[in-house]
Amino acid sequence: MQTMSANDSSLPGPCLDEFQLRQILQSTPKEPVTGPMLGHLDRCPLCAERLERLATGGQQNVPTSWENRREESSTLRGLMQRLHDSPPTLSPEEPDPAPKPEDVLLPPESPGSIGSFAGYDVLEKIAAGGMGIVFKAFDPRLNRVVALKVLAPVLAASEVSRARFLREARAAAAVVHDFVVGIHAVGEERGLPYLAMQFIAGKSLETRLAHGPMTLTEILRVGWQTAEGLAAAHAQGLIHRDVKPANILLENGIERVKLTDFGLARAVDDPGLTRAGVVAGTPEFMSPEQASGQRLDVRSDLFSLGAVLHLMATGQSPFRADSTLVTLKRVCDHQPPTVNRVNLQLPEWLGGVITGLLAKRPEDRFASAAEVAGVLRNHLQGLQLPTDSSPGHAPPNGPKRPLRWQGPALVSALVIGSLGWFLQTRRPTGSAVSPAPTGRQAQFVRCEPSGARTPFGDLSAAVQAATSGDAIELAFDGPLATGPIIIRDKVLTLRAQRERRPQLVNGATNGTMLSTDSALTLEGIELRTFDANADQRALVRDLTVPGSPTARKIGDALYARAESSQNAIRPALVDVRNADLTANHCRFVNTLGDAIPFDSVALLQPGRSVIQDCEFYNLGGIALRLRLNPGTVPADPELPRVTVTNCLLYASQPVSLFTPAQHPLGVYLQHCSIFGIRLWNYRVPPAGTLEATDNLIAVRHFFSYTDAEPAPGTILKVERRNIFSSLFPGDPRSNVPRILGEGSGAVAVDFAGRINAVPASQRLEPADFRLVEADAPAAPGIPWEELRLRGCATDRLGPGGIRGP
Amino acid sequence: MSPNVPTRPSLLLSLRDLADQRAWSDFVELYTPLVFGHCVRRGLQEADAEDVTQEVMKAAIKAIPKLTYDPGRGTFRAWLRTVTRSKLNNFFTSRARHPVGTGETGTHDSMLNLPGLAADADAVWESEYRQRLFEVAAGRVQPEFQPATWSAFWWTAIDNRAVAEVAATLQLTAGAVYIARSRVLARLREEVARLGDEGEAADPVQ
Repeated sequence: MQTMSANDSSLPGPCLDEFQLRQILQSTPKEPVTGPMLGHLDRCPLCAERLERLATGGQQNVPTSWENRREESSTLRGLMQRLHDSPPTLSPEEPDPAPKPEDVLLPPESPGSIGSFAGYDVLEKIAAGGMGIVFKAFDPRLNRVVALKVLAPVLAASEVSRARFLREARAAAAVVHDFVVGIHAVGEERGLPYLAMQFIAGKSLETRLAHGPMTLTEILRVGWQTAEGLAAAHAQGLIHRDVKPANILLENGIERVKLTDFGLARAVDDPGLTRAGVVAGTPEFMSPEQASGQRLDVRSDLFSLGAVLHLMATGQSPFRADSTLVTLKRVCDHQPPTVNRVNLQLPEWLGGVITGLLAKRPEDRFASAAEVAGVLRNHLQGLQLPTDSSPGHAPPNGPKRPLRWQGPALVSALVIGSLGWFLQTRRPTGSAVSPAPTGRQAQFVRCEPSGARTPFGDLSAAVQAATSGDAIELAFDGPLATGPIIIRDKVLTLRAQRERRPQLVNGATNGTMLSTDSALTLEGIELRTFDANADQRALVRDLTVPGSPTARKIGDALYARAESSQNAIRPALVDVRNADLTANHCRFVNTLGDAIPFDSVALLQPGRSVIQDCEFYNLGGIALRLRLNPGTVPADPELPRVTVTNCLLYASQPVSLFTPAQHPLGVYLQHCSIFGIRLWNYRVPPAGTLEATDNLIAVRHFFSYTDAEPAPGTILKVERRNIFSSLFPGDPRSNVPRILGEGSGAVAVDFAGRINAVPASQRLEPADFRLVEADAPAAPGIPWEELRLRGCATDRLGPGGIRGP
Repeated sequence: MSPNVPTRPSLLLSLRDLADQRAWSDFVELYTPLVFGHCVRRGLQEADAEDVTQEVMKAAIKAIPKLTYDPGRGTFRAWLRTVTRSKLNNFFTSRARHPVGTGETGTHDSMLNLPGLAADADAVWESEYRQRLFEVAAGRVQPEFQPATWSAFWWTAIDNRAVAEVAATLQLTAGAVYIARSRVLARLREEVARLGDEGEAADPVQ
């Protein structure tokens, strides 16, 4: 490999070849190089460079600066010296010493008992572990057998553990569910916290697994029931934190799951108590966020459930390793194979479900335990159907008919099939929708101005019959599935009959419930999305449009939002177009979460709409969605005007505007309590007036806009009696009021006529916010500042606005 | 002084033989300051940083026997960073529970959760590792060379002085300076490869 300089006659000798260069590098370092090679290198920068490239391998893994060298602190030097001198010895991880019965029990008080504890006659020890000891005991006061769990004395010595055990046990006692072990009593005896719970005659899933593989039906049943139990706890805001086979009990005979030990893993999660390298909980079933010590939410339990399902399906715990730390690392890094690849008898969808649970990032998992329960239950029901199932039933992926999904079309067919099945077989529960009225009792009464009253069995018929100016009374209590209802060219009033509390539940499932092109008045009615059943939500979401921009992948399955194309009309409970809405004493409830975008009230081109004494609950959607057609200039500059008075708005987006620029719009919020993420959210630059007076506002963003700043001439008024607070204390993004983006200064934010804008150079404290008496609109070009308000009163929260002075 | 063996097993693999005192020393030299420095940057006082570091090192030594060579998996240092982060989290959690002084609770939590900071911390961790790797490698290699050879390398490669000037100072020819520098670089590269953890992962063979 001669170089181009080889013929340069000014150099002493020819350029060195690679062999020579290697020789130079590899000869004993101390041996000097002499003679012609050295002479050549003296003069030939190319060869010098080649030599160096050969030396470094062309890599830049040797730093070329030495600036960051720090003085090692004496502490560090001491630490290193000690580590040098005595490397930590490797000892096998010995299990925590399990407490013995005699450590906690008093002498027996009755024959047949091995001791007594807190008034219970202890019959036998069921289990003992690092955390505590479980006895079978008899409660003579209530004459029943209970399981008594006593915190290990070594843990009970810690104030923190004791308090946590009691707190978690009390929280768990609030969960009453078929698939959760009921807690009878929580208490403390001689400094040892304990809890008395249902005694379950049966074995744990751990024991069951030791006896051999489970059938698909068994896997699904245990998985479904566990997920249901978790969902019940999650609904109480309780995270289990230690979902594992040992905590899943199987009742004898009926094979019912009983989930136990909610939250108790927390009691031992105290660095002061656990030995180095040992993490509280059960590493092989931990979620990555748990393993890395991050904050948990309910989705952590879903990961653990996935690990348990994987174990049931394959007999192998997906992350198990010889040591705790390696297990934890595998939890965080290792992607276990899908179960249907390990166990070829298993259907592919089960692999998809488990992979969807075992996603490393919580947001990639299923959204809730209820959703998982729904999916598993549907498959379980599918398996239990006769093989010649009638059309519309989900084809079971049973062992007899192994089914492989062929592609999106088949997926949709399956999913729609299961929706049909679901709707047919859904059993009403306590809070569920009552069936459509079949009796003679009139549910709806058409009331004409003349005084005539005509009963109707359902709302559609009543609306059909009504003429403009009529009212329709809702003469029932509780939920009733209704809709979709479409009103054309009729000014109507829908109101509750006196003393009635009717609830209209959206029968359109995921479409708009009530739409009208004429003025509508609503009084005393509650409107809800279809019953907050997560199964249903999952199925709605399963109605996928492959290739949709909002398709979402969970595991191997593709999910998509049902209607979320940007141009699609978003569904709402009430959609009023080119007309006024008057709503009094109504409640608008969206329980769909963020599975599909669903708004409470949508107004297109509203005139003078008034909403009073109403409550909006909409986590996931918009409480009040206002749209204006581009190009229209109403004769009355005061219009459109939307007044919201004495309302509770609890919504992801309390108010959202989809408006063209240069269009006047008035939104007046008075005496409201507003909680949410973005109070006013703009899609396009808004114009007009936004006024807030006497509200309690707890939001993350005071207002925000997606595409552009407010148009010149916009007046945003925030009167002085608003109380701002943060729904997200400690959240660095939560600055209230917060103005996103850099304003041009053309917009006046009128805080009670006192502060119009705050220059970036000036930092204001809450006190300043109230006291500054500047009356100037912002000078153009002054960048907006995020106001940081702290210490605002939050004790006057409540529906209907601020109470007190 | 270390013997100059052309190809050696990597540091982490040598560590599996726990009796290898030299490997252990290298390990301590390389990783302790990394962990310690990270703790200090996280706002720990030195005494606390010392405790946390010791815990991390204990955890590391437990994992070492299960190391395997697999370039596809994460590096040892990334794993170590995870362990460090976890131990730090524990520390902050316990600190929040037993507040010392007037530390604002939640501060650390929120700091840990800021994505920007976390990414910065990753970058700092990485550059600290590179720096430390070089320091330790240089410390190991230097005794193998004549002082003049080392100086020729150091002054030209690290201090960025001109070859001609260095040659004059050391009374060597320019070619000799190039040779000295390249020889040290080649040796350093070898040592960095030995000490470094590319392709070592804390994953056991099942």
